[in-house]
Amino acid sequence: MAHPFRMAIVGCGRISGAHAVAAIASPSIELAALVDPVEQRARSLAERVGASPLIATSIRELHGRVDGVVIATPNHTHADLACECLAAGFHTLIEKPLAASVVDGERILRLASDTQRVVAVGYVTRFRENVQFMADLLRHGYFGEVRRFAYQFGSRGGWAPLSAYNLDRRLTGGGVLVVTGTHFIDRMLDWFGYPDELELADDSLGGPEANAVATFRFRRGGMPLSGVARFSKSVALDAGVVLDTARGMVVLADRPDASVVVRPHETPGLETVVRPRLEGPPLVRTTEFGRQLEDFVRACRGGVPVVSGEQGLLSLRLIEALYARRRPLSEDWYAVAALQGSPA
Amino acid sequence: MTRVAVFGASGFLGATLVERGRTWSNFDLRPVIHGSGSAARLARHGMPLRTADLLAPDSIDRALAGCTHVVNCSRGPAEVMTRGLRNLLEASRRAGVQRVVHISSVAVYEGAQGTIDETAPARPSAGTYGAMKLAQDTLVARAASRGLSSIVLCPPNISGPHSAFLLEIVRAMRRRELALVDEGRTPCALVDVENLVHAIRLALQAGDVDARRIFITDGEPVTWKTLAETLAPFCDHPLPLPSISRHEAERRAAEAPARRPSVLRAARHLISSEVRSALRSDEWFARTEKRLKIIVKALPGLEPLARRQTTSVARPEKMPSGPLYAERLLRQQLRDVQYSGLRAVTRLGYVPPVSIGASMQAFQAWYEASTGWNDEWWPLVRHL
Repeated sequence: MAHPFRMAIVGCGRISGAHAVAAIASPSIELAALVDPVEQRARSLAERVGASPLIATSIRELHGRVDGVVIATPNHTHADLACECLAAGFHTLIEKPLAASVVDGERILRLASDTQRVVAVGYVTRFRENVQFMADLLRHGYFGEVRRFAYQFGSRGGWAPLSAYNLDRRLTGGGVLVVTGTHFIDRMLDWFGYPDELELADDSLGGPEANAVATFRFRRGGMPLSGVARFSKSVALDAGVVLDTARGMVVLADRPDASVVVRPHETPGLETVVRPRLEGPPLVRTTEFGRQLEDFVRACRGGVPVVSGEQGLLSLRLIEALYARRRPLSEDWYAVAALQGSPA
Repeated sequence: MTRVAVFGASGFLGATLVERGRTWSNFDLRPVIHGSGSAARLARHGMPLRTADLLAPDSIDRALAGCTHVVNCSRGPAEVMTRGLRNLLEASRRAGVQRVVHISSVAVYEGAQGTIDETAPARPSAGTYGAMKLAQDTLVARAASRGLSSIVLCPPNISGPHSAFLLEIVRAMRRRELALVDEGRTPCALVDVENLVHAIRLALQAGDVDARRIFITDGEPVTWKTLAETLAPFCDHPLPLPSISRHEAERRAAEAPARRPSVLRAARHLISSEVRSALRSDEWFARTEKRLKIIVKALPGLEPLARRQTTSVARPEKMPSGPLYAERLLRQQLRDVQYSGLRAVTRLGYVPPVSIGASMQAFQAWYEASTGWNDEWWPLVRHL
């Protein structure tokens, strides 16, 4: 059996707990170090997960002690930290997005190529069993022609990083599109490729947008496809994707336990659940974070990660292209006349 | 310049106040939030956001620096609502704040019937939201009696864009869980969020004030039937809506699991694994719990009892007969009450700028834009 892969987690904020737990649960990984400029954060994470790794405040302290790192820090710090890790010879899994800009993303990939190190990007929802199953079904054309799709995800609030960097557009590289929307953007690119036309409407007034609606068109030879994706940090929306296909409406809710459901056009009152037939002995089920880390380790030992740095860069390109075409969402909710006559 | 610290700025009312206040001349509204998780609506403006924990007086002092006025729209757990408010009032006094505007709720008048004014008896059941708001009003009145100029605005359910109350009705209707009581004839008191924001502005500027509650409503009667029928199209809900008698609604409300305060339930809640797990982040609690476990293990008679707590199965609740309707909305309809707007007119000069019709249109416009209802993609999205 291979030696355990010695892994460090750089950045000990909210998301790092999930990576640390996944690392500890994996027989092929040793949680070797936790790195945070605030030493107490690293110590407290180690205590929470019941581990005793090296506690470090800088990447320099990791030399010779780790094989790979997970970078789970604010978006604007990804590029510099990833480059430092790659230069030190560490394989690198970077929490999504790859970087805060395409230029920074390209810098990371150049160095990865020069140093022959793996770069993977933490689009963890790609490791959900139902998402992978849906990808397989689409790849094999199970639903026939896919004509349109609609995706939405919305919550009133939610993710609150310890540093509150999510409130500053310069640090995140954007708003809800980057923070949560990027997960679907990544899946969409995997399923359908890069769109030929795209548009974005969002409600940014200088800060990170809270609401965004992106539309896409794919020419795909003679089988055009169009779609919409709506993301919100101020309105709760039932999250999931619906595909309008030759077989019917295909629904996959955005939950790890959701099934792929088909509602045939001709019998809208019925639905069928499509699921993979289980063969062989029962599988040991791991979390999506666990599967992501296992995939990263496999790639580091000679392979390609499920979400490579190149795919992460493609997501960044698409996000930048969307922001470049943005137009403001209308917010004129009240009839102007009603307020113009007001004593206010 | 009136420099206003808005506590609870990331909530529905607070965010609308801050957004609207940015257009007011001679006002500088400074949003104060508790955490970054729910502040997306404000953050999109790129404006500076102050952070404060109402349970940490130092952080309130910092948030109040340079402010002349305070609006309190904050909500939270009981401790935040009581001790937190006391901290805020004390900090406001220390900072020489010229006016505090506190948002109360008509929930303090639980059980009232007919048209009432602010002098009606406020006797909410113990442990309810109304009781919490009444306790807050008492704290504000006490602070006012010690010289802190304060106004208490008392709104009913708040409508308009982002309204959690209207969304609750829409959700219930989409799930076919809304039943009207007596054909929806009872009034549903509402205030559009813009009207309430307008009242807050008046309250910040008002001269002669006291800290007695002031009802702020839309001033137009609307029935539950009208309200539900206006919202029905968003939910693909056929008309007429189902209706049950008042007697039936009262029976269902009485059959619903009681939520009156119970020492036993509170104790069960406290020793439940979820609560203990959350409390363990506190070092003192973690230490104490560990010691208690050692004591329990040392006393053989107690150990099975402790084990039983973690593995016990909840007793099944009584099942109501007939379709399941949203119980909270049934209870709301049993409140056959309207709130006089006279005191708002005489003390603040308040006349609601937004009519019910305009308010509902604004909600519809916002709902359409926010959910894509009825747009070209809706035939897909409605499958979710």
